Amino acid sequence: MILATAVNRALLTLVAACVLLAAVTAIRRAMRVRLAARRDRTLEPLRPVLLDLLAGDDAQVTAATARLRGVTAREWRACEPVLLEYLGKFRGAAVNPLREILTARGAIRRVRAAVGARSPVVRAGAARTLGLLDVRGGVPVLVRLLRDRDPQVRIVAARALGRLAEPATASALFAALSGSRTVPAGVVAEALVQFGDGAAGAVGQALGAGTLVEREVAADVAGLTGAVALTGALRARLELEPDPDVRAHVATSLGRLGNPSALAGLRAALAATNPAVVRSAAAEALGSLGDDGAVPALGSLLDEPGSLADVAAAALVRLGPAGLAALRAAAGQIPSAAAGALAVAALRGEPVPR
Amino acid sequence: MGTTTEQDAPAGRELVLVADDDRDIRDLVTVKLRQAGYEVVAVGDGVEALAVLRERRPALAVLDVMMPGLSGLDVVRQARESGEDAGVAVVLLTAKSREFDIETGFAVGADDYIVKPFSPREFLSRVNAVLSRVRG
Repeated sequence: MILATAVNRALLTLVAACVLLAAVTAIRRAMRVRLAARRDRTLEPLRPVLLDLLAGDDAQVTAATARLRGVTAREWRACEPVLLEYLGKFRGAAVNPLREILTARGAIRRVRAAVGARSPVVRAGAARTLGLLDVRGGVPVLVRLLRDRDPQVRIVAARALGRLAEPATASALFAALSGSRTVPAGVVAEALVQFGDGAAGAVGQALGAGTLVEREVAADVAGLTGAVALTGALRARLELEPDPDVRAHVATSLGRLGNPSALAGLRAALAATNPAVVRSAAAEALGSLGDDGAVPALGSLLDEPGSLADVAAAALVRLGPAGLAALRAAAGQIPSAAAGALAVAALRGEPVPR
Repeated sequence: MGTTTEQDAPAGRELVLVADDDRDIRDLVTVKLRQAGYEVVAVGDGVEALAVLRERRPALAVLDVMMPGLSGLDVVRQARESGEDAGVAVVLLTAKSREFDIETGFAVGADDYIVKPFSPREFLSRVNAVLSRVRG
């Protein structure tokens, strides 16, 4: 009897707690919706002013700036997120007035305070805003956030550093690839690509003496930024690199750079003694290089099993008349269906996809 | 900061379709095009965009790639395949910036490809250039 009463009480307490939790959740949601609706109502009459600031003529920009300098704190709280979103969507001279008004209304001061917040969402937002507002003084903070305990904050910090593209931070981005708190390789590569030539020194260094993942990222960035000055370093890496995946990335980048001096190294990488991933990347790169000297080596791959023959056939197509002639000569003797189809199309003089 | 110069402005009020589910971008593009003297129809999804292409026959369509309903690529593909596009010029405006995405955009029949974030002034120059080419 006593036990049954205790169980009943426990159940009632549990039900009451659930009801209370549901009520609190519903009230919080309703408050958020109400706040958002109030913010939208406040924002709506100011939207044309924000658009004038971004897209108006000089007089409209001046008027919009004056209007936004004078809006109430509540109106500004509605405007600021929209202006920050604009900075993520638009670029060029048009966004300068946005940065100026955001700075004048204290956005940088608030962001600097927010980078130390307990919430990772707030820290990530602050890191993004430092990049969007082009706050050069925020670089040391962003470099520190590359080692933040939250992985999303680290990613946002890396992207913000990419936006700022300060050459001195390229080595910090490479360093963020290793250790206990890392940034994904793709994010680091994407950030470094935004540096353009500014990352060339750090890229060259990582290519020659970095860890495996640093070498791979460096190879990608060299190709994607068109760093022709690094062709020699990439050629050396193609020859000396022990890891097949890194070698494949190096081959791809040599193809992207299009420097004819890579021809011999890429031809050598086609040798049957090399891993398939390296041979395939080298074949594709030779197609991009555009040098007819690659035709015999690519032609010799047409009777290879697997996808290598297809890659070689596509590369021959990209090489133009000399490559198409090699395909025509090989038609009928190619075991690969896809490569064979390309060769037959070339033989008939039909248009072949490049 | 400045608006479109007189030499950029089109001769007549040509119709331009703007399709983007992002209100900020739709509004900005609409304002820039109107400042330059174009008539603009702005919609927020791909299905509406295709309907406007069929019914209004604009001179140019500025399409976001990732939209609800139909993607910008699907809109171009369907319009080009059905022959209902009546030679409309197409500018794709998208955050998809990989080499493959750009190749795909041109392969389906786009005349230009602009990657977000974009410069509003550069956008207008490119729209004017595309329309000049189309006019011959």
